[in-house]
Amino acid sequence: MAHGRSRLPDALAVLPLIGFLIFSVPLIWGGMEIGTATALIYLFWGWFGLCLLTAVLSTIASRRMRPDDPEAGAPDP
Amino acid sequence: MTILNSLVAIALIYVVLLFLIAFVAERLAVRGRGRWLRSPLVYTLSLSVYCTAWTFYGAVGYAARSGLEFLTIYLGPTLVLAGWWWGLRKLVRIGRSQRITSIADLISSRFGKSNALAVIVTLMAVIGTTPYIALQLQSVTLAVSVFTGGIMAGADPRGAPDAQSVAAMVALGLALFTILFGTRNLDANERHHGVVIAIAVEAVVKLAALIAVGVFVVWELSGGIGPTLARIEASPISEWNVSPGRWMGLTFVAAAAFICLPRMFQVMVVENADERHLAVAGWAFPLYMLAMSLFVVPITVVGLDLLPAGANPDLFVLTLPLSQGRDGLAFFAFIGGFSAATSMVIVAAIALSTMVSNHIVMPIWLRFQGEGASVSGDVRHMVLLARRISIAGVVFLGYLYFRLSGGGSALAAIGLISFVGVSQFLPALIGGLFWHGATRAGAIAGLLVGFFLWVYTLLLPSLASDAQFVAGLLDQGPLGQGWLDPQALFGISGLDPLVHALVWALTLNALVFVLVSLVTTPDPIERLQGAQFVRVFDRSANAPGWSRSAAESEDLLIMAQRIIGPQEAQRLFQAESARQGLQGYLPDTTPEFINRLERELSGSVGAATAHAMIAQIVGRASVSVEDLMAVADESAQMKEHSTQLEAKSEELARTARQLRRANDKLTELSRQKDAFLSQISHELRTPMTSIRAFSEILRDGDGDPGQTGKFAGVIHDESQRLTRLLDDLLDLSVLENGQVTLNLRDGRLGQVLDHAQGAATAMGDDLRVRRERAREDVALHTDLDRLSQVFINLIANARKYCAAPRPELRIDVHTEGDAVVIDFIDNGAGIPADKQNVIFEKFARVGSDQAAGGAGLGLAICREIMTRLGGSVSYLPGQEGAAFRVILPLRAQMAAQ
Repeated sequence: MAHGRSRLPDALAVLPLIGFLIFSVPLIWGGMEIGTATALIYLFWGWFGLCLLTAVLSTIASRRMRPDDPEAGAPDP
Repeated sequence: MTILNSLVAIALIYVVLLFLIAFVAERLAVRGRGRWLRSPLVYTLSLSVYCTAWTFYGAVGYAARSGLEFLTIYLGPTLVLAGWWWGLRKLVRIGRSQRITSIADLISSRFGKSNALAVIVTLMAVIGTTPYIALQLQSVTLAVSVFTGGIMAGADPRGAPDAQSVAAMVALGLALFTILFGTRNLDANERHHGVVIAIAVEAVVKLAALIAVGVFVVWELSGGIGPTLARIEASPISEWNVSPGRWMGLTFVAAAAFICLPRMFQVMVVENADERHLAVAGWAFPLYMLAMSLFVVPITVVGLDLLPAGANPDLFVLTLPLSQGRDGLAFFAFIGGFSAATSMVIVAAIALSTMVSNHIVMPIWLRFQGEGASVSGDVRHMVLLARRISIAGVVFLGYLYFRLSGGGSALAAIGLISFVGVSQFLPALIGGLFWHGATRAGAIAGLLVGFFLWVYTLLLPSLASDAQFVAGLLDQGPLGQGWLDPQALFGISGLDPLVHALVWALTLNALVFVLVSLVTTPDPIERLQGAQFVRVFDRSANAPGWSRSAAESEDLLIMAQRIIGPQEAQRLFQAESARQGLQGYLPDTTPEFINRLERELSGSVGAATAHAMIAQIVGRASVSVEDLMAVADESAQMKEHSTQLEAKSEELARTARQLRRANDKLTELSRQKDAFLSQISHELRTPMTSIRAFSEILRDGDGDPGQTGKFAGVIHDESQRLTRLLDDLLDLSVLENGQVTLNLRDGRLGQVLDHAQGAATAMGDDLRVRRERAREDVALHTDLDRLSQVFINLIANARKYCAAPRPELRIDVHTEGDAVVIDFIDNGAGIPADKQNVIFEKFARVGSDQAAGGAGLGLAICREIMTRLGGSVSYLPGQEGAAFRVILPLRAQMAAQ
């Protein structure tokens, strides 16, 4: 548990990097014969996958923010 | 013309609906029943102000011109949100803990609450956003012109019949909406429930509209997903043809703009109600953007296929359904685009007006006030007025820009230009958040360099078609110096103009920022603020910025009341008093308290203004060596050890404070008691002497019979005076011993006040009493006679002691929770602070009021009665004269008898 807790922020921090890699792949297609339709399918699936991954990690993270972060809570009446 | 009418009707109905939604949301929030208004879903949807009309209509046009490049506008923000844990969480935490009101406020607050910096950021934001607002107005007029005529002929907004009036109408309506719901109250946290919920609804509408058109195109016009893909392969944009430089550059610009755009900062940081919402928005908003862009390419391809060659691809979302005879769908798409445009203008106007009023209007106004906060009138009113005028001004500027530029392609390109402009805030923002060593001078220098280069390399060339001078500049460079060509600085040509501008402006901006920061030293306040920002997740970083001072608590209360309103301010001061272990409304002015107060105020007027106003009362902000020590990294470990000690010493300080107050009170009381003893013997003696003298005369019987009656009268009067004094003493002792029986009855507060006023002013009505009878209609179940006795006493006191030439008493009634609060406020000199502690004690008297004939028992009796009735009576400082507050529970829960 303690191990997982300390690794979660690292995993979350890596997310934008993963996203950056996914979105940079089309750049190396320059010389190849890849059409817009294929690129479209690739980008949208990659995008969707990134959202899914973020959702899983963020949900775990937000559960953990609950008990030990009183300041993060809403002071609204 | 009928189509225009139905269009206007639909738009009007839609707007009325928005007004209603916003209104209901505000009402719910006021009643505290609006928790769902602040759900993660609403937060996520509110982020959709990012998707303006430019992305709603323009994405299709963009795809028609440059293929998939339009996706970068969404991919950048996706990366920012995926990394929310690392960046946005810190931004939001700082925004909440420092009560940040805008991006200008954030940057100025980080760099030592510098107003100069705030002004620079504000001006840059206004310049970068005004054309963007114009773009929204243009999109609406273009959309209208599609319906009114010249559908396929490629629309020029100036050619449309009512373009100007449509734009003017839209601008007017938006300004009205924003003023109504954006400046409803001077919220301590600068949150707008009504606006946010309206934005969320608009988010759903524009997404639904775009998806509806997309579904129509894919499944009805193309016959399914497979055929659509085949169609894409066969279309003119089938070639994957994206320049890597633009792809990376645009993704980066979009990411930067997502954080730096004033409207995004407003919904993402300022309106954030809970940090955990980020965890949902982190994946849900990328999904939203994905859905927004899913059908862009199909719509583009089919539009290029079916519509005539000259048709404007920016309007395919509208013209495609129209050309197929689907007027309903076209109307829906129009409403979607209308939503996108309006939500952007509303939020941008709120964000900009907050900046303009806090950082430009208010400082100027305070300066012209001379003495400033301590003598000025109602600041709240002034702030709201400034904000309303600013909103109208911002929207009008947008309209003016639209009129002058006349629409056209120059305006269409402004979206990305504006993105590059606001992304100049990024170095100062990131540096401020993560780097201790960043200084104000560095931030100012970096911003100015970035801004200048942005104007020179991007904004000016974009106006080239309109101005001869700029065209010459582009051809030969300024003064014939070719290496200064705005689009090829230092002779580096061949770059895409946008990437060229981005690289130069942002790199030099960051470079200058870092270099100047390295060679300048931050002043102490900057250092403290820097530590609080960079180490926001360490609790201990809450270093005080004010040294112990002789500031008068009452002065601070008066100022706070004018800015955040009397009730809010009184609650704040009372809570602080309780925290310090004191009673009443006037806590000691400890540095911690002044710090907290400043943060609360900055939630209403911005950090720089709040700091300046407090400095006027407290004096210059000075930072002690210990404060700086606390900032230094080495002291962190030491602090850990001393935390426990600190807690103990704090408790000791609290006890000492209580003891000190108790001691002061006792000393004062003992002095008063001595004074009273001599006085009461005098008061008993004077009537006794005359009674004895006259009774002796009567006994000896040597007066004439005419005088006898007169002497007897004197004896009677004097003994009555004695009786009254003894009655009061007896009454008080009965109350204090708890032997009194209460006679509980039902009644109305108004009647009790009527009776009290009548009784207290029976001897002469030189006192004017102002009441608001509508508010006094409160049902009571209590001892009405005793309550009336308290009121009589308070009114009589005002009549006796109010020294104003035209004495006046205001009786102010309001309910707070399940208690009714009655304030008695006169226009006299008030009670000096050193006497406020003792006036409720027995025999306490203020000044030499022997003339008034009281024995100093009235208020003591009042206090005992109110305690018996389960309420309280206390002195309310910080009003125009003497003020007493009576609090009575609505449901009588009598104190134990």
